[in-house]
Amino acid sequence: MSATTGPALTVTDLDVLGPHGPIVAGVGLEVGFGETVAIVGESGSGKSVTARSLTGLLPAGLAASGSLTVGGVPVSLDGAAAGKAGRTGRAGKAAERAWRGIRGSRITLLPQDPFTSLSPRHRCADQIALPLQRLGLSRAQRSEAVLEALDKVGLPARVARQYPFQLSGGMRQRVAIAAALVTEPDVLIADEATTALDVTTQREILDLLGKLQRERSMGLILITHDLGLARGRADRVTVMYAGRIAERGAAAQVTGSPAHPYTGRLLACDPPLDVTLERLPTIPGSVPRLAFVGDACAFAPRCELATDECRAGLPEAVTVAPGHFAACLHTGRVPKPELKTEPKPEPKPDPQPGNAIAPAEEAMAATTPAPSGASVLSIAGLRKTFGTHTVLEGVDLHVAAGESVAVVGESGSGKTTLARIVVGLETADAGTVDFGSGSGERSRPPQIVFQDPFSALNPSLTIGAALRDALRAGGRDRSEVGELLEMVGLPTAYARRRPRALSGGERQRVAIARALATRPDLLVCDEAVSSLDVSVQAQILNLIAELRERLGLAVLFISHDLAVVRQASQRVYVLYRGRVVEQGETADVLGSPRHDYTRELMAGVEGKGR
Amino acid sequence: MSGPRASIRTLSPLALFLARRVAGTAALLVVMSLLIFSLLYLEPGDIARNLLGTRPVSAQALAQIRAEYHLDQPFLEQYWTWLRHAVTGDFGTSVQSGQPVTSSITSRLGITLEVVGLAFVLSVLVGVPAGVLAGMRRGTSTDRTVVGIAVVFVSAPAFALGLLLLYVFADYLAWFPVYGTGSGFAGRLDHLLLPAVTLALGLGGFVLKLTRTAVIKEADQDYVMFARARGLSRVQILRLILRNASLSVLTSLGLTVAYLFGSTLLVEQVYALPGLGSLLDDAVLFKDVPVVQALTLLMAAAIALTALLVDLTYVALDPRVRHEMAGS
Repeated sequence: MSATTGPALTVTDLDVLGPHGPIVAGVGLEVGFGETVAIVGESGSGKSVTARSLTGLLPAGLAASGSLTVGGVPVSLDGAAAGKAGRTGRAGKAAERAWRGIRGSRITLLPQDPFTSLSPRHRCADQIALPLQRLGLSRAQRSEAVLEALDKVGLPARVARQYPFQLSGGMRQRVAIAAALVTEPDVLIADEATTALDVTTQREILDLLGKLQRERSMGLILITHDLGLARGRADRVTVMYAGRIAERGAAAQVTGSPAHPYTGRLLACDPPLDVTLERLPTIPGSVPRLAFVGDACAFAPRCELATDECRAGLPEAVTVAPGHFAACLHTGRVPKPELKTEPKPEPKPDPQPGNAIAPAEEAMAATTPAPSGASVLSIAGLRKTFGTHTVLEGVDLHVAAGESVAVVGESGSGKTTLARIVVGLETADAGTVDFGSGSGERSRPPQIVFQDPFSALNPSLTIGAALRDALRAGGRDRSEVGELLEMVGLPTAYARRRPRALSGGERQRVAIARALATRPDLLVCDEAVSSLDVSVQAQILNLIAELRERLGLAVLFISHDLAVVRQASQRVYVLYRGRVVEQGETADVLGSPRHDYTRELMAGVEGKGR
Repeated sequence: MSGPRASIRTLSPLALFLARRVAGTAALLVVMSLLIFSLLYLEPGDIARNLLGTRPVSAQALAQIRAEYHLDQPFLEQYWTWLRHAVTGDFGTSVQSGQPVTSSITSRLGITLEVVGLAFVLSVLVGVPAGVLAGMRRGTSTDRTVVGIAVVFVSAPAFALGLLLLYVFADYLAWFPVYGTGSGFAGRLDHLLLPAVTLALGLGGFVLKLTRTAVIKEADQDYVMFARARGLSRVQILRLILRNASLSVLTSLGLTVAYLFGSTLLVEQVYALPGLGSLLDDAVLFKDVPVVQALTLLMAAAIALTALLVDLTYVALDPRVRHEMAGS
């Protein structure tokens, strides 16, 4: 049937019910042909569950209801509780069969991680061609279609014969896109489809998705946590909070003049690239579960503007401007996102109290490889190879006492290997790594905070036990657990809890407390905030800044995120293919990058360029 | 810089892997054979008398045994002589029967291989599909029933299961013969089916659980969700899952060989089959050290070679490993 009239996808009154109560409530969404709509939210917002329910792929135990029309075809959501194929009875099987006619041809979901979304033991051509088999195409027609699909996503024909593990992350995502679009769906849902990729690759993939969407005049739904990305790539934006829609409207309106306080705060939390803030704005508290919210504004407990009315009833969506709605009683009082805290005086970084190095000398440190003064880390001529592959070559790096230094680079730059060498998890093939060489007295070994707070803590140990072990390793008394927890802003009662009872941000605080138990002079943060939500990321960055000030701690920040680097470091080293290609004060390097690679990195940042 | 290092580097990773793996297997077998040879010395009493068994003890007979086994020579030299003969298939003379060890083994090898082989085929034929079914229907009553049955068979001791089957199917229902090995293909199958089923029930339960775990692990992967999101049919999705799950199932199947050789000892006793298991049993009871040595070495070699074979198959089947081996 001709589906080019009317919207590509319409869903109204979408509710998703889980075993412990509602997860998504009253979500409505309309996506036109050729239109891009972004669903923005933090973890717990229900954005991914919404995406799953629109393709009938909800995990077992979750049931959707509401009315959905895709490409002009009404789809029954009510039976979508089928979960895993064949898991439920006859009704589930019938629903699964009905969905099979919709998925692929009408709507397709592109998963987040290109490293797991393709079968590792099937050639790319076979994976792309699978849906064509059902359309009754011959082998020759199928291989022709595969080559065409690969060409459309900008991949050479040889990829057809290759396995996913032979390709880079960006290429794998291109293969996945080719596989998703080979059946020419009316709507594509991209669930954080670029989050796992490098900045420059992310931009290429988004460009590609945009191009393909225009060519096919397909509806595109971008599920993302990144408001900057939504601003740059979407026509319209829907902001979700705790399973409900907080605000929706044209991308420019929502991000330019937010009408919901949550959107406003979320925008403020996003660290800017062009200024270094004294303290990043945060949203206190965490996202509640919809089941515990009831008939009230879910954001009220965290909102400065909240009044008794907000807690008394569910706020209706208010029209702020044509096509711009917000579910808030105080839409007029939301501050503009431009109103941010005063920037730090630039370009000089904040001199640390008790820091032996004066700012003037520090500026010198940026240009001289081995500066004088108290040093907690100096690396010279570092080389590391894995087999025939050289990961690091001739790296010189220096961190003074109390200083914050960032190493920025993409995957494959060698930045993680560098971090692991610093804390002794890897050994270098050549070069020297010295701690505290300047002061003459050997400093305590550095400690590390890893990226993923969910795997960094032993799930069977209570927080208290984990910290006691760390204290013992540092020769400190085990009774100091409470002190450590208070230092990272957690209540002392958390000592009795286990990691699974903690949120991601809280776990990362525990990981920091554990690292600080031995009172190191240097803390290495390996992408320590990159898996956290924006508001939580800001909290952790503020915490690290506070700890630096209080303890005179030096921090080596390993990150791919330039905005984080901007906020968290005084000096920066840009690592590219194992070599330092540029270094200097963060404000200078990011303000006027000299190396092409640094410029490329800056250009790749979504929605922050002004 | 150094010569040997550089020459090793020039070998392809595949050749390097093969060389390492074969050398490892060989080293393992040498260590095992040394231990097995030492069995002779573990037994209390005079070795020559032990080797003489029930034959009349005379000074002449003892001297002959000492000369035959080089007992007057140092331990390592004795080992070396023994090993040299063992490699050519000569394990000496059975203490019990006075026959060459090799001939008593070869006369019984066939029956054990047939039982074990049949059991292996049966357990894979039933265990793998049942495991796939349970894994794809995880959490349903089908899954619980299938896994429940598997747990019963895995936990039941083979000899008890054997006695039960023997009583029900051979004695009570009289579908199968109680005793003997049968002649001709049909007769052989008739006689060996019950012992093989006894072995296969325990092993099949194990294979089922392995397969189920592998299928569940794969079914939870993102690529399965993506396949569903693209509207692929159940059969297509099942094929994706099976291809990926097959490798871990295959690796685990290698482990079952050790289990099979262990259980066949008991099963052959229950069914009074003249196989290697009953030979080993007799030899241990009779302190027939040459036979015990030969059988133990044979089983160790079979298990080590299966492990090697599994590794090689893995290289052949997993494209990722294959490409790594072929060099970057």
